[in-house]
Amino acid sequence: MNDMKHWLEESSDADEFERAVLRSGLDADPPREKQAEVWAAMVGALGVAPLVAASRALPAPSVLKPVAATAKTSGLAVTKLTFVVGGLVKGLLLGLAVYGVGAGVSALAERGRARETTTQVRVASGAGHASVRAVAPERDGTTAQSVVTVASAPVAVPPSASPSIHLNSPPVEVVASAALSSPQAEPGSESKAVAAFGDAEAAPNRAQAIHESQLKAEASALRDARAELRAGRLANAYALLEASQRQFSVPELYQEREALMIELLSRSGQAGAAAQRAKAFLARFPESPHAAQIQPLAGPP
Amino acid sequence: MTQPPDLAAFEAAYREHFAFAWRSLRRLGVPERDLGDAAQDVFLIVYRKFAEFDFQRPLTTWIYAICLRVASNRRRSASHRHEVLDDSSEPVEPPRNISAAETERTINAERRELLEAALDAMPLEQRAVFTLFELEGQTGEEVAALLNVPAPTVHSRLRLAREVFRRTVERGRAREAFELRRVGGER
Repeated sequence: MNDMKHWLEESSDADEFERAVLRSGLDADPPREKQAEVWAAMVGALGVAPLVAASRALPAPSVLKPVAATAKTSGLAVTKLTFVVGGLVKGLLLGLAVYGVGAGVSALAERGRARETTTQVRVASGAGHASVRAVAPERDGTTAQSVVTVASAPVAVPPSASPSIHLNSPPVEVVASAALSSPQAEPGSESKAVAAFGDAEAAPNRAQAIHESQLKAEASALRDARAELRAGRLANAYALLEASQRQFSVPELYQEREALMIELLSRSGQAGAAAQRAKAFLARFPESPHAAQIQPLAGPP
Repeated sequence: MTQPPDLAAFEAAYREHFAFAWRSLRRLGVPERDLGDAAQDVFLIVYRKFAEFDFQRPLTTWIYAICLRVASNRRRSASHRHEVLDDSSEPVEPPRNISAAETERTINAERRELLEAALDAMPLEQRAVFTLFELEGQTGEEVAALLNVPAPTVHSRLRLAREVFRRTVERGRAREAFELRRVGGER
């Protein structure tokens, strides 16, 4: 049937001018950078990764800056819980260790110099991430505010997670991948958790216990990942590291995890990505005990 | 219960279909400046529904259907705001003493405008068929499968869309011939 011939074909019914007009519309591909840009924007819209990235970069409470959560339509169920630590509380929130719905929610506030610290905890079902927004304490004693968004859903490791897809990415993209792999919010699974935030005096002891427990769990996760890596099961190692990244988004053992990730990249044949991360690591932690191990993977300066 | 999406599969789908979604949105009339947002809208929907998708069906069909919906919504909101979807607000005037390459660029830009004008004159369902068939190079059967409509419907929409295209292009043909004569005469 000739009328079902494409008009761009010379033998079709279209004349040369019509074909020329059609040809002008053939190039509609996106500019090169758009794919990565939209991906990054999408991660932002899901409202998780940028905040996680920001939380990693928090070197000390005194330099904490607000990080705006720009979730477009995350669909995440958020339960807000606000408590006020009143009186002459001396410091800013230093560590805020929070567990999921099943485990309950707790927070650690360290005393600081601010007169009043308001801490707001959001428990997001299914985000698979924790994120931190915080404002440094005002030296003049005005209110300091911190917002923490944490995952309440159990961490799910994608069974088919393959290093070949994710590990090509620079660090930021890996964060993005982790964000997108987070479990979706489940309808009706809004956190009913009501943190047993009692009086401010009880918080440090509870927080200490939580901190120790978290550290133990994080160390255990990294031990498992290392064992998989040493055994050459790279996909498993990657999945465990990614899960650890989601679960402990304000990690105590960040350097250890990053060192493993760099080794994993290198062993999976992605020398360029390994070198990129290794350089970033060494620039940030030049005195790290892992520096000597990572140095050869960074390549020439 | 909503299952968490398989990240690796989603990322692969994103990489594989991003350019197609972008081209589709563009050809369905989403203005250049809004393409990034529209593509993001498309893949956010894909992400949210990914775990529920029946992978026995072609992913392209599903993604194109989402593109159609997103483009349609954007056209509707643009018309509510009385926006002109065409990016070019000024007609392209060929300058004097221009080189052959510049003339060609100008002519191409005008042809592109002409194509956009023709596409804008089509109802969205005709536009979808026309762009998939003529610009994306798909067969009638492929278009039918992609749009989930019978082949005769594709045929009919294509015929109507071509009529619109021809009418619009005819107006540009005379203008281009005149400008080419003018540029030639000035040399």
